[in-house]
Parts: sequence; C-alpha cells; structure tokens
Amino acid sequence: MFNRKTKETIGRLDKFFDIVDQSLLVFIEGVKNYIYHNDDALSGNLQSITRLESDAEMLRRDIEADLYRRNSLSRPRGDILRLLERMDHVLDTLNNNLYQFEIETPHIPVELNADFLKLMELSTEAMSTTIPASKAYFKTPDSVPDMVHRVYFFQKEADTQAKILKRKVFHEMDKLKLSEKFHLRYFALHIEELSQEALKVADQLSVMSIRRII
Amino acid sequence: MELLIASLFTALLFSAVILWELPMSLAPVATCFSLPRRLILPLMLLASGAGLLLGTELGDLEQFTIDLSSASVPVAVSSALVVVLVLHLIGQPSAVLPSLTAALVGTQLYYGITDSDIMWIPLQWLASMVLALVLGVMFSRLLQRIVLNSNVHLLLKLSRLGAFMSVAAFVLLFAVGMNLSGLLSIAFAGNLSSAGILIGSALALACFALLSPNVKLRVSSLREEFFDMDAATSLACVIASALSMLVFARGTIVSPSVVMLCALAGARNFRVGEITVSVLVAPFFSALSAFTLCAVVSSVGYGRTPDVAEAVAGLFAIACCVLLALLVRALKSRPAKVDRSEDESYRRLNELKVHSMQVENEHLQNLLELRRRDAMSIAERISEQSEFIDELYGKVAEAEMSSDPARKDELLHEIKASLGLRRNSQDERTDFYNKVEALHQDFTARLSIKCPQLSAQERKLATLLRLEFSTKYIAALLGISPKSVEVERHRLRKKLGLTRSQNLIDFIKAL
Repeated sequence: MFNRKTKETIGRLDKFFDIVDQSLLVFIEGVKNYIYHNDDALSGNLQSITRLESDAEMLRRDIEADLYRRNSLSRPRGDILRLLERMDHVLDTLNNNLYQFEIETPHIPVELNADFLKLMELSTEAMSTTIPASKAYFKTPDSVPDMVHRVYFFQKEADTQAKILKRKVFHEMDKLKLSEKFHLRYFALHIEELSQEALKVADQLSVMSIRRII
Repeated sequence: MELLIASLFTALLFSAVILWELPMSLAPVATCFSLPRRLILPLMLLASGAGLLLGTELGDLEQFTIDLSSASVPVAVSSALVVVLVLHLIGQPSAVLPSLTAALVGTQLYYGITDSDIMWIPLQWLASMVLALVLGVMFSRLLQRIVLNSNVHLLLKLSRLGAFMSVAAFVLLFAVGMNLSGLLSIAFAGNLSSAGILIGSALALACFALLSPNVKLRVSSLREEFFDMDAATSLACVIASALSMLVFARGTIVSPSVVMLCALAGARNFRVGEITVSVLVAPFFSALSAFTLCAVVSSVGYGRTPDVAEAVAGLFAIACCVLLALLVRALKSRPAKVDRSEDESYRRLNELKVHSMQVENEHLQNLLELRRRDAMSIAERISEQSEFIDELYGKVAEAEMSSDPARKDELLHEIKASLGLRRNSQDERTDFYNKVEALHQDFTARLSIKCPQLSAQERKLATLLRLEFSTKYIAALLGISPKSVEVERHRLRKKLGLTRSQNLIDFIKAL
C-alpha cells in the first residue's frame, strides 16, 4: 500500500523533471524561431511553454502535498521542496524570457544570430545538466558532484559568451543605436539568467548530496 | 485501603515512566514512521499495553523474591521519584527505572536482605546496556551499508525504512510494556490480583491520556536534541534497543531510555553525561535516600531515635544532594555568563547598528538638503533664464518693429552684448564645481593634504577626472579648450610625479 503511493510520488517527481527538460527544448526552439522569423512556430512554442508551466505547477503542488503527508520523509523534505521551488522558478524564467522576445521583438542583427544561439545553447545546456543531477540525487547521491561539475563548466562558458556578445554589440556594431544596443544587452542578460539559475540549482544539489552522504 | 495506596503508587510510577522513559523510545520512531502521525501514540500505547498484560499473565512479578513490605514500597518509590524530580528540576533529566530499582536495593540493604533477585538487577542493566551498544554499532553499520549501496529511489528507500521502523517500534514498545509489568508487582507489593491488573491498566491509560501533550513535546525536543540523524541510523537505534529490551523483558526491570541511549552511543551519538546521570548518579542517590528514609521510618515505627550511623548516613545523603545541586548550578551558571556576555555583545552590536543607521540617515538628510538646494537653484535659474529670454524677445520684437536703422543697430548691439555676457558668465560653472566639491569633501581634503603642491585649478581638474568626465565636458566646465585640458593633465601628471605606465585616473581614485 505504502509502496504504491510512494511510487506514484516518484512518478510525479520524474514527470516534473521531464517537464523542465521539455520546457528547455521548447525554449530553444522558440528562440531559434524568433531569430529566424518563424512567427507561427514561435506562437506554437509560446502556447506549449505556457501549458508545460501550468502542468508543472500542478505537479509541484501534488508532490508537495505527498511529501507533507509522509512522515518518513520528514528529514529530506525541506531539501526536496527547495529543489522543486528552484526548478519551478526556472520554468517561470523560461516562460517569461520567451514571452519577452514575443512582446518586445528585439532587433537582432544577422551578424549576432550565431552569438545569440551559442549563448542560448550554453545556458540551456547548463540547465539541462541539472536535470540528470537532480534525478541522481534520489538514487545515486555520490554521482551528483560529477554532474554538477558540468553545470559549473557550462555556466562559465555561457558567462564568457555573454561578455563576447555584449562587447561585440557595444564595440563593433556602430550602426546600431544606443537604445538598440541596450535592448540587445537586456536580452543577452535574459538568456544568461538561465545559466545563473542553473548555477543556483547546482549549488543546491551539491549541498543536498553532501547532506545525504553524511 | 491497601488497594488505594497501591493504585496511587501505580499512577505515580506510570506517570513518571510515561513522562521520563517513554519519550526517549518514541523520539527516533518519530523521525521515520510510515503510518500517519496521529496514529503513532495510540498504536504505541496498544503495543506497550499488550506487553504489559502479557507480562502480568506470565507472572514475571513472582520471580522477584524481595521483601515488599508495606513500608519499603512507598519509601523506595518516593525516594526514586524525588531524586529524579530534583535532577530534572536542575536540568539533568534521568531515567526513572534505574532510580527505582536502586531505591529498592537500598531498602533491601537496610533490612539486611542480600540474597534477593533484585540485587542482580544492576548486573542485568549492565548486560542490557552492553548488548544495546553492540547491536547499535552492528545495525547502524549494516543499515548504512545497505542504504548507501542500493540504487533504490530515496523516497522508496525512506518508505521501506519507515515500514521497518514501524515494526521495530511495535516490538520495542511491546518489550517495554512487558518489562514494565514488574512495576505493577512492586506497586501492589506482590499482591497483584485481576482487579489490581485492571486498575493498573486503567491508571496507565489515564496517565497516558493526561500526559500525552507533554509526551509529544518531549518527544519533539528529544528528537531535535538526540536524533537529528538519517533514517537508517534511527532505525538501527530502535532495532538495537528493541532486541535488547526483548532479551531482558522478563524477570528484571530495564530502563528503555538508558537502553536507547546506549543504542544511540553504538550508532554514533555517544552521550556520556545523560548515561552517567541515569545509570550512576540518580540510582546512587535514590539508594542512599531510600536507605536513610527506611532508617528514619523504622526508628519512628519502633519508637526509638535513629542511631549515630543512621544519622551520619542521613546527613551524608543530604550533604551529597546539596553538593550535587550546587555543582550543577555552578556548571550551569557558566553558560549563563556566556549568554550574558553574548547579550552584551548583541546589545553593543545593536547600538552600533543604530548608530550607523543614524549616521546614514544624517548623510541622507544632508544629501536631501543638497538636492533640495539643487532644485531651488534650478528653479531660480529657470526663472532667470525665462526673464532673460523675455527681455531678449522684447528687444528682438522692438528691433523688428523699429523703422529707425540706428535704433535697430543699437538694439542688436545690446542683444549681442547681453548674450556675450551670458556666455562668459562663471557663475554656473562655479556653482557646479562647488556642488561637486560638497559631494566629495573628503576627497578634496585628502588631495590638499597629500598633494599640497597642486594649484586650485589642478585640484578642480583632479576632482573632475576622478568623476571620469570626458575631456570635452571638463573643458566646458573649466571654461577652457579641450587642448588646454590635455596640457593641464600633462602638468598634473608631472606634479604628481607619475611615470608613463601609471594611469592618472587610477592614481587619483586610489588617493
């Protein structure tokens, strides 16, 4: 009886992490569609990401209720809930950032497409690495530090790429107006924010895995 | 009458056990339990009740060949409870059952009975403690290894551990209940009938119902204090103490809290203080006070005054109690001093915080005043500009309307002159520089002290460079050409003795 309910909670947790992963893929597609001016596809991405976010929100509430109901989970409950909150925040960030593209329609010069895409790939890669690390926390906490190490690497790379992009915008793109430069910097920051979120999740996971091993 | 007294002592004993013994056994259970929380206490009560009834049915109490005379039971029970209560009041919670057994030993010693079964109880305690310790080490290592090496999901693992914990807790509480059946025999002084069992069980239930809020609080505090550990270690403690209690469930009185403390020591959390107080200090004083009390009661009963040895023993017991209380108080006053010093530090810190906030507020007030003055001067300037423009507009209109060429020339000349005057006005620049200086008072002062050789113009330049103004702006603000600014910068570098590799702005900022 207890195993069945526990397995249901585990299923919900896995589904939640899968939704975060799917949202990342939708975000990547969405940004690509914006850059290459596929407006219809972008609106489809926006709908998908909104649906995924609401699904994740419902799942998170169910998982929270499950965790609070179980006495045997009193010790790791706080850690798991904090991790879920962080992941939920990531979903919010993804959703908001994609909507910002649609609302503000920043003018991205063709010369900067590759840089923006690279920044986005590095940031999303940092974030997507946290998902197997989060899953590993529940089964093999020893392997979490190795996975988290990859997140730190991608975060650093994303940081470097963001600097390169911003330098290019402000030093090499003379034809752009200052307002346009600011706008592009703002969007670079939006995408970079994802890697910062990944860093926070990684830090959280590191602490959690240590607490489990001790 | 005897039944009433026995019921009273049963109630007292069970209250003490429920309040001081049971929470220690329940504390690790509460960390990882797969059943709903509100069911923990009733189910545990059921388990211990079943154990208690089985113990009385098996007639373990008859195995005690102690002289449970009507006087020795009240003396032993009251001595033990008083000692435990005193220790509890001075902040050293101890187990009740070792104190009670020791008090019984004290009464037996007074009456000169040395072949009683109860004399073996301390040895059985020791054996139960060693067993709990060994089992604690064994099970904690085994469970840690199993839990860490299995790739099962954390939630599933905890759920399974919770199920095992529930079973182990039932066994533990069953053994505790069975072991406590000896208490009924002591309270009823060996004359336990079925009515006595019924009364005893009812009283145990009533005591539990009455004390359950306190038990819950104590369980929570003990869980925080002793069992802030992973589920596997908690389970190891419960299994070790359940097995140890099961082994010693019949024919003796073993303290569940002492056994749990030993299992905890085996698992990894060795609490010397609590074990020493429960196993040595409290029983020693209980035995001593029971012995002395027996002497006094016997003397009063036989209508004679206590002899010298009894009086010395009584005085010694009182002196020991007083010394112990003083020692504990002295030990406890140390952290209090630390607390006071901590309080003092916090007070000072708060004062500093308040002071820094006041300073900051003052600074912000000054800044606000400066901004207000800025706003006023801007308003004045706007009004002055507006008057100036109006005047110019009037002159232009008059020149336009005038048909006299001489008057036109005169008006144009006047306009040109007033515009020229305006352009060369130093007021605004001086005003701006004064504001900059007001905002960076400390820097200007430092600059004057460190570089007294600089002229006023060079100090102005240094201040503007520190603000990272461009050459164009500096030229406008100082009323000179950009080229002159470059020359001034060169002179400033020379006066400051800077080499080629040194950056002027960095140098000024570092001042």
